[in-house]
Amino acid sequence: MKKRKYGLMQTTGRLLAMAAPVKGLLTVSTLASILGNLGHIGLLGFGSMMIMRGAGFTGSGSLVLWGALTLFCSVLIFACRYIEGYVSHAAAYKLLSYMRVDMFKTLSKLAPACLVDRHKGDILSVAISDIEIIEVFFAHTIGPLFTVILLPAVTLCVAAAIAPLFVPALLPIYIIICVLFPIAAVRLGRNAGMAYRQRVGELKSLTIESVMGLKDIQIFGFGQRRIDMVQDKTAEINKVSRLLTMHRQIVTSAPTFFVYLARILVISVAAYLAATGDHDPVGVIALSFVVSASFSSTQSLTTVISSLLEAYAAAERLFVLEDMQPEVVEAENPVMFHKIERVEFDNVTFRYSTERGKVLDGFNLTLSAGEKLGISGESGIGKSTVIRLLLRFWEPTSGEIRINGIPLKEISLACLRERISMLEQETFIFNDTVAANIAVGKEGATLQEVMASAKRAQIHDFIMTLPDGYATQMGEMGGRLSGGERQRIGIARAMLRDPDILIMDEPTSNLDVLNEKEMLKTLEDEYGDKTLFIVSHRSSTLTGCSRIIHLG
Amino acid sequence: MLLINKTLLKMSKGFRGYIALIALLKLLTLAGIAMFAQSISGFLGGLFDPGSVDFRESVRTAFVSAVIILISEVLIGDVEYRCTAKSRIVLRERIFSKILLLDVGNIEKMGTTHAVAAAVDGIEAMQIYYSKYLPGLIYCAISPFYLFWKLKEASFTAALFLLIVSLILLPANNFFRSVVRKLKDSYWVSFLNLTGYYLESLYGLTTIMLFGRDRERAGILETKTGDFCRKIMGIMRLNFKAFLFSDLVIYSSVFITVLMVTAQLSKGEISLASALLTLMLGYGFFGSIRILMHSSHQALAGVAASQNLSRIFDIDTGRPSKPFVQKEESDGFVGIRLENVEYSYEDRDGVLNNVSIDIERGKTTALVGQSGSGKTTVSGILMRFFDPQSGEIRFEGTDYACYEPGELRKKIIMVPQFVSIFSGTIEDNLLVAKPDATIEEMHKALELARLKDWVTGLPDGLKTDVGDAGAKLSGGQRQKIGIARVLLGNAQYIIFDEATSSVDFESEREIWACIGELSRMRTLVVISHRLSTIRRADRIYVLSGGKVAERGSHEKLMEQNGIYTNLVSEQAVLEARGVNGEVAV
Repeated sequence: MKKRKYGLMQTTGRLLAMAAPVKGLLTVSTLASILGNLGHIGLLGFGSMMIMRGAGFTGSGSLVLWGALTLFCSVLIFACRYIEGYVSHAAAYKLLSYMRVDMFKTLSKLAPACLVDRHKGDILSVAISDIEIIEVFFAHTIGPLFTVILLPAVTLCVAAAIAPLFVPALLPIYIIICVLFPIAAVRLGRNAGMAYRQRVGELKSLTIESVMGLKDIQIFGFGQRRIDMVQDKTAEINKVSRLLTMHRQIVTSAPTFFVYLARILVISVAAYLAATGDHDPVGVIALSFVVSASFSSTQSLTTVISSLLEAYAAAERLFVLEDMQPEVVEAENPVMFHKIERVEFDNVTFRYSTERGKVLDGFNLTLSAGEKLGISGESGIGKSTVIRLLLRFWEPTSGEIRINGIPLKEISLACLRERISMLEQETFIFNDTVAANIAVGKEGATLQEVMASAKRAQIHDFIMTLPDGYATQMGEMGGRLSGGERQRIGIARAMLRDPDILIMDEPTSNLDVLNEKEMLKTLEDEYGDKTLFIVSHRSSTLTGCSRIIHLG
Repeated sequence: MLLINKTLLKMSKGFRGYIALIALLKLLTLAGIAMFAQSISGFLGGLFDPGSVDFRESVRTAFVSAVIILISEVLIGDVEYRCTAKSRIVLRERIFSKILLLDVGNIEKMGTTHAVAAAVDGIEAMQIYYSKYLPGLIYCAISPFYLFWKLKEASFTAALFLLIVSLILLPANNFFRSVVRKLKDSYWVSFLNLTGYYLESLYGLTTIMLFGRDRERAGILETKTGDFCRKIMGIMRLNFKAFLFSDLVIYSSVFITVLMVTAQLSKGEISLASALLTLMLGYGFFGSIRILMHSSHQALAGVAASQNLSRIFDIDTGRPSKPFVQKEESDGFVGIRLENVEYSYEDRDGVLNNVSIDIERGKTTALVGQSGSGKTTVSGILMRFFDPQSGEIRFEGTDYACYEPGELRKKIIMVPQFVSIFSGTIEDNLLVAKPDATIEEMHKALELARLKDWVTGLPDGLKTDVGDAGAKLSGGQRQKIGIARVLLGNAQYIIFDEATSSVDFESEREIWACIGELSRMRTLVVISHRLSTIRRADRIYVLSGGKVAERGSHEKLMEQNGIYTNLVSEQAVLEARGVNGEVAV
């Protein structure tokens, strides 16, 4: 078996540590689980005693006593099952909520540098479905983990009291099904659990790309081949699900088989005792029932083992993301600054990964406040990279970037991104109103501010033609906006802030001539005193720049 | 809670046999359990009367029945696998076919979130219903009769009592039906809401970080996860209420049975063995219901998912369609002709008003106009992503409605404004257009799109991974792949919708030069707001406010001194300003 990064014990420990916020609830549910299972033993044990007392096979106790005890046990089971179930689920789902939010926080530290290789569908799968399955661990595993040891111990005590010979007969079976079997089952099935979770994640990526890329799929008649890809993935899921299903059936039925074996052993020992004359039929009958009840907790454990495989795989997938080293780590005592006076790129070299070539090699640049800098050059030459480095989404491979003479590494990220406003190459539209989409630019922006900004970005008139004006919902990923409209919303967004530097990455690639002209005029009027940093392959866009650098 | 769902039953076509088989095998297991209980109780009952029972016989029967139970359980696993495997294949095929039928024009009726939630999580959740819940339900309905038949000899009254209670218990769970209905809908809405918000947060993460909105986003996420948690707990509460109710019935009946049996035993009406058997199997009347209830909250997720799936299946994907008739234009025109086409989105004013455009075969037609003038809508109609509300489009004389959309797209191809790159390698992305393209063909296409040098310079060449949905490519490189892809195919008509908007100036010029070469063999439709790229088009249509405002060749339009002339001169002014001041590093 392949060595895994996260061992069984390590994963269990880490999950238990995560459960700290709901420790109290989990303790209550575990206690309820123990009491409920003891009640189950009592119900069958006392019930059989009641029958035998009633039928006159034994004189010990009274019918009323056994009846009362049986009734008490029923009530106990009843109450404890409810408490256990409710409390453990309440705790588990609360934890899942926390985990999803924490994962988003982790992702925001990793983005975007560490996530270019990770499929978004797969990350979504971890956040939604994988975390959901971890519920099995919190709600269905912790309780049985305790009872699976406790109940056999109680049963063995009862057995020892009736006839000591029962103990050596039953003990090996308990060890097999309560300890060895679950551990072996989890170890053997982990790869299948992992494979299943991974395939589901992959299918999700495939689905997302199929919907988002539907236009290109339809253009090329790629649809049927895409369905084939989905069905191939489904076939892979089916293959691992066969392993998982068989695993689950064997893991649940094999112990049942041992349970039956245990009961056969009880009657065998009883027969032996009967043959040797030392025999207590009443005790044996009661024990036979107690033994069968003692396995109820094993069964609740074995039925979750297969889901537990998935839960462990899910946890592992979550840990992999959480343990990813962010490309960018904020300094411990980040430096704040008020205004950007000077930006320096000092001999900066950069490559995205070792197998790909250098994008920047010994790049030098000094930018002073108020300057209007343009960068031009071929596609893929590294124009956008310069911006990514300045915003510290990536770290230079060597060399240093400084703002006001302070190395970028020491500067507060929040402060840096507060003082620099950026218009992205492709504007991302959120599933919200137009107003909210523009307001992304500034926390707490008023509608007046949003409208003023929209006017400056030449998008106000268009917004007014929409059915609900600024309150119009944009739909998922801004489906119906044209490229130019999206871009102008992005411009309005960037203009909402009052930064020292305004960065524009290909601001005009989707603008028509008139819009481009208006936008350039706005830049001149509104940003006359600001530092501008424009990346464009169009010389017309770089018109107002005081300096143009050509990369190549 | 009892979950019998018509939608799910309807969708189970093709694998119902498996569901029945699982239930049957469950009954076989029950037979084994009954056999086991009989031999054990027989033996225990005989303990008071040594010699009455053959010990070896009891152990042998017990052992054989244990083996039967084991085997049938393993068989159940195998059939469950077959059932789920089949249903996954059947349902995924249906949903992905639906996505294709919805087509570009209607896909937003489904949306990415719905598609992912239904096609992946939804279908997986439905497996519990099909492989566990439904067979369990069938089993629950039959097993009490079997147990009654087994127990009637041992203690008729107890057996009858247990039968009646178990027959009442299952339907009594239906009592919660109205709550179930409400819960499953709100559960799924909350699930979609969370999935959608998370998905959006992932795609928009860079924007969120750029504007420092991550903390706010995490806060909203917290309320959404909290809401989802509450919805699940709502289901759980209901589930446990149902549990509490059933357990109350179950344990009181078992208790009453014990009393009945004890009474009968003390009166000597039945043997000890019979009493023990009743006790052992009495619980069996209800065990199946309890197992059913254990899987019911998961099954409920499946029910909720199926509801959503069926809504997706029910979306109308009917398109105008006419029997194929080969016709020719009366004036001898060969090409694509749009006549008085009107188109508007559901909630917006007219996007195209009475538009008539001729795209002549072998010629280059250009569409220009400001953003929002309807250029891209025309291209969508040409590709038959959507159908116009009125007016007619004919492909070389034959009505568009006579062709399957897929059929038309073999003749007309397009480079969209935003090219979708699929995860995988550069090669994978090129093969989208032509699955059997050779390396030479791919190199040729890349060469034409001015991307070959870059690709061959990469250590892995065509096999270079492009990252998640092309995350490792720059905007210009994406467009160049989109262009190369189209050049691989051999459609007669090619639409370029702002195809070089993100490509650098040098490449743009070179690409248009090679497209110019192409125009000798193919028909081109060029949509662009960079007027320099369309100057040489045979005919230019100027769109304004969804109408054709001007048409003609560049020279003709320049003479008219209208919108086109204005756009050209504005651009000239802009471009003239931009040439100075470049400094090479």
